[in-house]
Amino acid sequence: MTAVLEPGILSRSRRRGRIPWIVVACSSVIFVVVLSAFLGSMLVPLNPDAQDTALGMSGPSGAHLLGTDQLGRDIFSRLIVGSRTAIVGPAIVALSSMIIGDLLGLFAGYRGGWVDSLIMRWVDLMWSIPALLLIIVVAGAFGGGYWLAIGLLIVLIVPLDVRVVRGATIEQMPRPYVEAARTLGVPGRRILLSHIWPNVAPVAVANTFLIFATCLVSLSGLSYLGLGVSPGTPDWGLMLAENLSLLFVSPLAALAPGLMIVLTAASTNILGDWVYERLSEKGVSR
Amino acid sequence: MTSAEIFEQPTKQVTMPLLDVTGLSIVHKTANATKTVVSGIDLSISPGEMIAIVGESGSGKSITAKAIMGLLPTGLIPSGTVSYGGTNLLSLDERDRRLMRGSEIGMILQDPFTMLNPVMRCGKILAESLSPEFAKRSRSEKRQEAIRRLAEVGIHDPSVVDRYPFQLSGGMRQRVAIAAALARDPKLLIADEPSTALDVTTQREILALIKEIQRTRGMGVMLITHDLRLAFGTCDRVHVLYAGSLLEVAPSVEFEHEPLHPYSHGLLLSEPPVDRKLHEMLSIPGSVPDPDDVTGMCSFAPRCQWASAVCREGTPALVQIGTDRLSRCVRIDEIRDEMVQLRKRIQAEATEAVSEPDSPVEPLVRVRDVYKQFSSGKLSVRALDGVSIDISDGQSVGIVGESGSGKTTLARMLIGLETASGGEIEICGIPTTDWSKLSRRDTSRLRSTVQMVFQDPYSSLNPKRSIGWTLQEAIRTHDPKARNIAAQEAELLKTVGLPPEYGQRKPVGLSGGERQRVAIARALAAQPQLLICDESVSALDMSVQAQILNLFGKIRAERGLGYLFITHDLAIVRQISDYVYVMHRGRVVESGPTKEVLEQPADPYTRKLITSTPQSSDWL
Repeated sequence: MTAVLEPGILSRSRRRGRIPWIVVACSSVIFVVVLSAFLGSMLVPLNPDAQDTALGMSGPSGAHLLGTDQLGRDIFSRLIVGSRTAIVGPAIVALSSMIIGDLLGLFAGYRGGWVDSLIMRWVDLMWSIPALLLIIVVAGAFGGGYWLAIGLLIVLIVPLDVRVVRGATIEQMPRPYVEAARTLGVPGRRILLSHIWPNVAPVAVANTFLIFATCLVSLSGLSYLGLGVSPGTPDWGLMLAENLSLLFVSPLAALAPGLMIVLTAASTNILGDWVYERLSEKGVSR
Repeated sequence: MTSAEIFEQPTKQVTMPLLDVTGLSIVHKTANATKTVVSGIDLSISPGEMIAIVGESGSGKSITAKAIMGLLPTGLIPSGTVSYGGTNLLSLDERDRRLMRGSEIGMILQDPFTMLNPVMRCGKILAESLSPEFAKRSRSEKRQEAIRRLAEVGIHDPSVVDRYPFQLSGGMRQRVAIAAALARDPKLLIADEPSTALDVTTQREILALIKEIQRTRGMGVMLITHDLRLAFGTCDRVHVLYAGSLLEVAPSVEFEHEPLHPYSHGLLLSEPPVDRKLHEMLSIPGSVPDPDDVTGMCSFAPRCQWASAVCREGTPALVQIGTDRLSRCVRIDEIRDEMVQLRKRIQAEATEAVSEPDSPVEPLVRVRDVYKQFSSGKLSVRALDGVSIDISDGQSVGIVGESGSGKTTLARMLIGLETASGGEIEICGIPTTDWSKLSRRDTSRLRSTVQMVFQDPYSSLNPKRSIGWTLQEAIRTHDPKARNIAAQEAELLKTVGLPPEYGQRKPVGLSGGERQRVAIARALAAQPQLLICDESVSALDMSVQAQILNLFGKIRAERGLGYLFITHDLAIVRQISDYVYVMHRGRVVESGPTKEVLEQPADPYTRKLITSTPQSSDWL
């Protein structure tokens, strides 16, 4: 009986594989950005904070690949070091929303009843507040700051994840495999974490990627508005703001950080889509 | 047939087939691979003829129908010829094909619940299907026509045109769908499993309707089904499709008398009979292969007990045997007598088998006057209405009923997935009417007394977890102190007839039958005394169904455990249970030893159920 079935299964699993080029490209972008976030200070050709006021603003040259800003700081080096604030904040927000949001979502979907109502009303409340506006107001009142912005983003973005994961959990709940686990007497916590979670994981993980990209853009935006990182820090959003006045004089100085933001955010989204597809195809039940 | 209709039909059509399919092959093209779905199908339908295409899931029967209709999904490419009235349909462009659909060839699909647009009233659905000449007519004229069309399919209530599909029962929806398919008076009707989603009694009505319309209109009908007996009972000719190619073609009467291919022979034997109990059903081992895995040989050879070197030396041709019979078996002349002998032996065995009477003992499960009310808003439905049943230790009990009879609700109550609105349930002497009030010790005792095997093996296993993980969890949950779990896992797999390597696989790599085996193994891990099987074989192919039923028999003999079989299929009850309860609309209408109930039914509903089961002769 097995002998009959073997070839079909093998050929089916062999047909997978082959990573599309776009995914390879996006992964490379993210790999480079992550690498420079961790090893930034070792990779830079010049000290990113070193000012050369004598030189002042200059275009691309052999010494300064992307030129310098008005204070004579090397833009290429600042771009590399700037990836740290670009990555760390969104990563923290994405991870905490994945842990807090997924747990709350799973719990709300599994328990239902008043637990569900309570969690979901809080989610609704958070949804009804325009996130960026609130951050601007609060950050403005407290004088801004990178970590404050991250904290606020976590509070405001977690509900996004809760709603998605709760929906996916509710979809899994009536499935016979969940009922089978219940009839076996498997404890609820275990059903939630080792039965339902792997099945909602594709959605949750894809959502985490999306949150990462959203936060990257939001945090850069806050820095651009002067409500994020402290002045002088090499940060893509802040660099964009500082060098905006040079747009027509030395376009690369302003465009390069902007392009990095777009490139990283877009790569994350595309990678997230692909991860979702891979994760969900592994468990297709039919 | 009126004289006008006879006049309309040119005489040449009687001799010329309505539809002539020759060498139809369909491949599935993807970026990396080309997969065969169907290869070299030849068939023809004459006006007024009803033919059947019988096959298990994955045999390509629905795809064949879609190719004839020109409704193949993208990526599926047909070749060969599908000739209708002299034109090759495959060479027509989309516009011409669309004009053919409905007016020349109509189609009805399996699921009456999704086939009709849920936001359209039935009258509108019908009006839309009417021929273009009605488009300019007034609304009331269209309505009158819709009512007339509904009357033709046995719906004499004109208010149905104002109702939405969800307000109708499954049988009514299928009637509306048939009316819509026939609205432009097609000469050929393709019915793809038109009754599979329906209850037995409704199934019989729908097929009787199709048959009657076919006779009065002189229409050609192609019935696609997985049920050989259904095909015998309704069709003139039967085509057996397996792994994408036809294995046997024969007129129904002769086919039933003597199938001339080991596969059809096996299929016929694996259908359990209603009128007698067999010791063991003959089952075909394995499951339907991918057409590409059996190229260059007889596609049935890997599962055939008579397969020899000859069968693997090349794809056999469909050869003529007798007057109008075709078979693709190269060894048919050698094995013909052997097959006859085998069928005789099984018939002989059958008559000897009698269900043993059970002695009255203290019941393991005692259900008294249980009722269950489901309510949402103002609506409230009584799913169970004063049901009492007893199951003693080691007894095999069947509950038969159609959808909505409350049989599944009852099963779910016994396992604690549903709570009764009233009445008493006692398992092992523990009152279990409300599971949430039970102590932890009682709950765990009940878990190892009663376990359940669910209907759909495709969703009852966690798709993300390996088989071994699933079984080990079940073992650990039953006995947290369990040691040598791996050995227990292998033992369980062996019990259900799977090799130990299956532990590493995920459900996606398993066939339906294998998944159901795993689900049974999981239930057995708790070492229950009673196994509740809720339609546990109804989602499986016929040849696999017999395997699983035999497995249930084997496990019972080995472990002495009892069964509660929830099913709509009387034949299964006959094979597997000693005692039967017949349920109808939330009540038990009749109960007694299976043999007595099925042979001398006292309740009219039981009688109706028995006569509705597909039979080859005098069924419709």
